[in-house]
Amino acid sequence: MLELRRVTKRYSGIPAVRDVSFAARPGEITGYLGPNGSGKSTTLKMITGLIEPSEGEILFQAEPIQRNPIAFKQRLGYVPEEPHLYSHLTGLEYLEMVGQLRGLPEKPLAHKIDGFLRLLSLHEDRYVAISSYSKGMRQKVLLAAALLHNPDLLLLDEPFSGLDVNSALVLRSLIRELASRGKVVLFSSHELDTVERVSSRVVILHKGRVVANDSIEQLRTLMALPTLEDIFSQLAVEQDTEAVTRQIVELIEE
Amino acid sequence: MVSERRQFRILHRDFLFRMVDLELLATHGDVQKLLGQFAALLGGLSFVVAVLIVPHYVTSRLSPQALAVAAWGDEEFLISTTMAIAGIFAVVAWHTVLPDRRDRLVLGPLPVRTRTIFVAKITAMLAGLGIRIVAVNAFTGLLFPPFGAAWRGPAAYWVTMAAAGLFVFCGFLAAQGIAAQLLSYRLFLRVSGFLQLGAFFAILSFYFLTPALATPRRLAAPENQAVLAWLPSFWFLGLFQELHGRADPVFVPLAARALRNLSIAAGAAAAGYALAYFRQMRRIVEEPDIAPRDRLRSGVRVIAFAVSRLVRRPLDRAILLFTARTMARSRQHRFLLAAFGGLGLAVAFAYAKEPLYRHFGSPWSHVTIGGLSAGLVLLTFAIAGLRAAFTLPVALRANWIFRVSAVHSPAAYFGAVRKTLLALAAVPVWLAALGYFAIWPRRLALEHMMVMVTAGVLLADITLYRFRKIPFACSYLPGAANLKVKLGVYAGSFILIIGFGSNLELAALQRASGFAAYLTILLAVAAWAWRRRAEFAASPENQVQFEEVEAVDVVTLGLGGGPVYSDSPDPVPGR
Repeated sequence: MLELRRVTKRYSGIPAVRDVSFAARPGEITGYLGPNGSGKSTTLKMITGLIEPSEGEILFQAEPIQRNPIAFKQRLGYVPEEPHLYSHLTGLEYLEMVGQLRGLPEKPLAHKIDGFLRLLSLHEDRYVAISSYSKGMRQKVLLAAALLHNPDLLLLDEPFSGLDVNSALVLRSLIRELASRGKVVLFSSHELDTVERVSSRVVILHKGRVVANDSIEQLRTLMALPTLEDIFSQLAVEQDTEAVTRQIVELIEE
Repeated sequence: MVSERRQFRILHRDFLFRMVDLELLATHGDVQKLLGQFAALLGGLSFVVAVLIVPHYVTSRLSPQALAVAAWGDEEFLISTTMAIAGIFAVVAWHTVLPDRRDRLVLGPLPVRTRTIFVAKITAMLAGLGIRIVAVNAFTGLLFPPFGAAWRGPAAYWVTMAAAGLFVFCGFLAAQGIAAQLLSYRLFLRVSGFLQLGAFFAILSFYFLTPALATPRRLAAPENQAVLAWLPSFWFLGLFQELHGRADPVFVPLAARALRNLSIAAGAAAAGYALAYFRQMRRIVEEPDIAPRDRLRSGVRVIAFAVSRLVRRPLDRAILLFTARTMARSRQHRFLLAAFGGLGLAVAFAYAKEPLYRHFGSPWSHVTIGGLSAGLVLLTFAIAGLRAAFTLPVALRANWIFRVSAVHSPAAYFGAVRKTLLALAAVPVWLAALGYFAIWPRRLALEHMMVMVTAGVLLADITLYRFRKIPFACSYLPGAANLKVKLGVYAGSFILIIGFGSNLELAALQRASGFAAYLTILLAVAAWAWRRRAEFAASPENQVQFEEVEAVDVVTLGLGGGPVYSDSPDPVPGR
């Protein structure tokens, strides 16, 4: 189980994430939602160890991740929000490098990479530099890199970004399948519809604080709202969208 | 209606400042300031040369005719320096002379004629070249021709320098234009980088290896005519003499050759460049930048097989391949390494010139200080160059993968970096040094090889001491090191150590016992350097470094002018 206990992150004294606590359990898909700048990616980066919390504790399998970061990273798969890759490498070279960095033996690694490239429709472009890849292809490379070592914990930050319909359907099904095999899956997305279909529970973040943490069914019942989008709008959207739209159109026509 | 002239002015200015490849600059680099510094540097060079050369002529008691003949050597030196500067400008501006994808995508949708962009590009190139030629001759051009007709000397001088610079620039431009015509866009991008490196080494080779032939006897000697036909600086020396009105017959064919080759280079550059320009504008959007690599090519297969057999640990292989691929594909890194390689080659040439031209009667088979030093110089510059390139990041925001996949101890990463430095910098020089066996007696060559191997390991351990980074994966803070002081100290120490070491080695090679003592001392120093680096790498609090300056919790605005507060935990950045 992944557990966050009163985690806070401040940048130059300004809190980006405040007192966040929640748990993601094996076999469960936890959706992590929030508007832009609410602190979702910061939370995921703290879990990966890319940044350190200012306060609080993150535990995996009841052990603080800082106690043995190497062991924790061996069990972690991460797809970041932005597809930052070494674009001078080819897709194949990048995956080989990630597998080697993770210490995977040569032959099984080559077999796995070949399989991922074929199943994710990247095989024909395996010798093409990533700089020439579309956003969706980059996303697939990130996904393959996150899954190469069969991780127990999957952190997915906007994993559907740039994927075509087919690939998105495959990914959705894959996430469900991995969760059903006992993996802990935490994924962040702006696509409320997808989150609603995939997740069993959601954590909603607003201005760095958790404003909801429950199963979607329970939230629907508690708030007497029919969809996740309605729940989200009520908890985390402050703007009058109609008014903003009107103002933008007026500005264009000035 | 948008004014075409205004568009031209904006584009001309933009292209002029982009003549230095912006990707070679640091993020906060100021192009205008940098160009000003370049010009000042070249002007300073011209001033120093003028101060060194001109007084000899002013105080000389030779007749004007004898003085004019005595000046041939200096004139050839000034011409070849101008050509080298023009060539280096062409190399630095290599990737900016033809339009790139960014130009096309940014300017394409705007209401700007292709003709306007083309003319702005051409005039910017010529202006950039002109600035450099003027700067490098700023003082010598005013002070050097102190004899002859009042106006004819300086006029001949400036016309010759402009022609010589233009010849080199046009030559490289023509090569680029022809390559762009013959190759597909993707292949051109791949080949272009190697052409750039080839051009750089050609400039250095010509500059440092051109023999001293500027005397009446050597210029007239029949055995030198074949060599003179391949040395452009002498063609333009001939042109200078012709323009100056000095009717020495040895210069007539040289001047004719200069004019003919300048015309050919200019014509080829104009045609090749214009065709390549318009073709490239179209192809950029239609074709991707990078060509698919055929993994089944035998060369690639052999390298992949060798790496998989020789480098058994996956982490070592990951770092080695990542470094090799980055060096091969990143323009900035390749150029930095080429700059070090060029400097190394220049110094090595300076050492090797003596046996090459046998001025002192040393046949190749004799072991000389020059021969011993040349290999060590190349080894030093290769290791220092690659080590310097390691600190220059590539796609910095992609370094998260190293952090997230950090499943090894920091010492394992540092060990992999050391192996990579040895494999990519030292091993190629060691392999090249096998050439010593072809020219020297086997025992001496073997003994020098042992020195080269020990020196390579020693240099790697010295340069990697306190280095806590994965190559190209840590942010870079320009100006963090006091380069002016460091470079001076390093250059001075380097010359002293190489000179001293080679003298000592030459003496030690005379007797087996002497060499054994010499090698033992060298091995002891190498062992000390290895242990010092290994102890630092294995210290438990050590971490792989990804940020040059760690993030601080409190940042002051520094309005008081005092020192800015920083609580960076590492007072000794590993650079």
